[in-house]
Amino acid sequence: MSRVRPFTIILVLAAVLALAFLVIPIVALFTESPPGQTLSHLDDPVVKDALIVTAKTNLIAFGITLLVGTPAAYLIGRRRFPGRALVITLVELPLVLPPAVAGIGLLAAFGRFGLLGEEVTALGIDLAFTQLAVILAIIFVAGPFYLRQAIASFEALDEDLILAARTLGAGPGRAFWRIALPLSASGLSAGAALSLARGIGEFGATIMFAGSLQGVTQTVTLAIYDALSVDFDVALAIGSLLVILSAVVLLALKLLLHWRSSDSTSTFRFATSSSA
Amino acid sequence: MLRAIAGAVKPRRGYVTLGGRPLYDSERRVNLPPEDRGVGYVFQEYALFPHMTVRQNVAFAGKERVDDLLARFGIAHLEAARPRRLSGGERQRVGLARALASGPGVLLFDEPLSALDAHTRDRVRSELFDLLHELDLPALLVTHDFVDAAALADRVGVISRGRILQMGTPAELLAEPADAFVASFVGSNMMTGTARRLGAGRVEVVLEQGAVIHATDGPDGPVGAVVHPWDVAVGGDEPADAGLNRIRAPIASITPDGGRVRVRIGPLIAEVDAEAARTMELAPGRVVSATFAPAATRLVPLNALENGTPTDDGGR
Repeated sequence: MSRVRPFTIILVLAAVLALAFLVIPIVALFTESPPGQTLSHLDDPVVKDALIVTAKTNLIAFGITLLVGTPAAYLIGRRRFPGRALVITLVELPLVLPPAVAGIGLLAAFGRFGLLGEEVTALGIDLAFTQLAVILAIIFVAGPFYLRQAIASFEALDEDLILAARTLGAGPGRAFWRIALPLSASGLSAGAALSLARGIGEFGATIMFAGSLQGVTQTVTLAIYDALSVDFDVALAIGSLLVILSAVVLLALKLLLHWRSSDSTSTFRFATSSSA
Repeated sequence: MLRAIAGAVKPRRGYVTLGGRPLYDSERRVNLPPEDRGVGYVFQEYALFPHMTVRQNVAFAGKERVDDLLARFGIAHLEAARPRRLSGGERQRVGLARALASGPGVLLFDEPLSALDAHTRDRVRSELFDLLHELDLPALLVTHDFVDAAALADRVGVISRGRILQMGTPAELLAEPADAFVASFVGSNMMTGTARRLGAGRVEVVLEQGAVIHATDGPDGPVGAVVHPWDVAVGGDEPADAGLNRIRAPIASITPDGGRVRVRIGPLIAEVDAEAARTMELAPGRVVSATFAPAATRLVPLNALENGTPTDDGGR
């Protein structure tokens, strides 16, 4: 029987401790709320409204992120221009910003008395406490997750491939569509999944900028917070639901990456920061 | 340079024309994007699209010639394969077929043979030779290897630090290298020294390492004395023929190269037959004489320290 070294024991202990601490709260969500009750709680209009608001706002925010973020990332990722390092740092800034600070920032920018307040009101939009505000909050907080990964993915592209496509008669648009995009797909998907997960989980910026109005701006996370003081069991039920949702997203992401990497020879970096 | 021709980088000044059509002209402010230039580019690492099959790669520029090209390059049986499954030689053929599919006006090759192993290299070199002569297209090859350039090109240009040092047929470059850089690049021996004309048909050269040799013609002053390795004979202690140049030194190394042997003697490399080397019992450390005729000694003026990375390009 081989000797077990003290160092190994310390490693195992640390791993068990870390795992336990991470797993126990998740397990508790399911054990503390009886399963039968969980499902019936989900019938609650509060829950249903929250789900709809979350779904709507996140889908729209996600769509805008992809639509605007992808071409932006392509430019930043592939062109050298003065101030490029600064631009990339700015893109990554919301990632390290506390969500509450993000909320205040959004208020300061788009609130009635904010930086662009006059322009916004002139367009007839009253942002505070609207679904649009939720969407903006999600884009601001979750968008950079996608943008950063997209920049890294495009940057990692072999430029000879793009040049080859161009010499073969493809314009820059066709080279992007047929070469750059497919080859970056796995990296982009990883960034997108991360961005979506972050968006669904957004709380701080949303509650400050959009408020927590049931059926309008109350997302699932906001609903949990509200339910805490009212009915703890409802909060537990929503929590369990979110755990299952997140697990599904994570599983889907892993499967997607596995399938993708066996299919193409493209390399991708998972959530690394772009080089200057 | 190839990228400038293809349109990937913009030179500060100058022009690029193809068959009279300007692709880039700094004076007239012409700068066509790559897709409008009609150049076929074969990359060093082939740059095949990894997410497409061979067929899709070749068909990228247009579907019309695909079947012909696949057949001609003998890659039709690979048409459904992905590039990562192909060997180096196969990838190059796909890269060539793909470039030709766009009907280019010129072919650009970036180090076409350097990504191949030695055995494949020889085969591909001769295949490429046949192909280039079959096609009626001008081709520009960039390579670091003079042997490749000499084998494939009609004319060779030697470039160092962005300047063309000499342009001519491979034979011309070998016989009359314009300067020390070109001489060493084409594989000739080059010894530095100072020359002094003694009279008609006789120039004395005091070599850097002390020995005195003679040439039949050349400039005064600092020179490089160029001698082809195959013009150098190796001998032992027998008395020297008075008319020949002679350098005695220990053998530093012996390198086999096919049926011949390259013997480094002092500042020179002599190329002798492998049999002869065995008969003479040549071995490192043994002091021998390297002899060569003054008529085979060419003197070139020494430029001030040319030591850029040698590139040479051969084009038809």
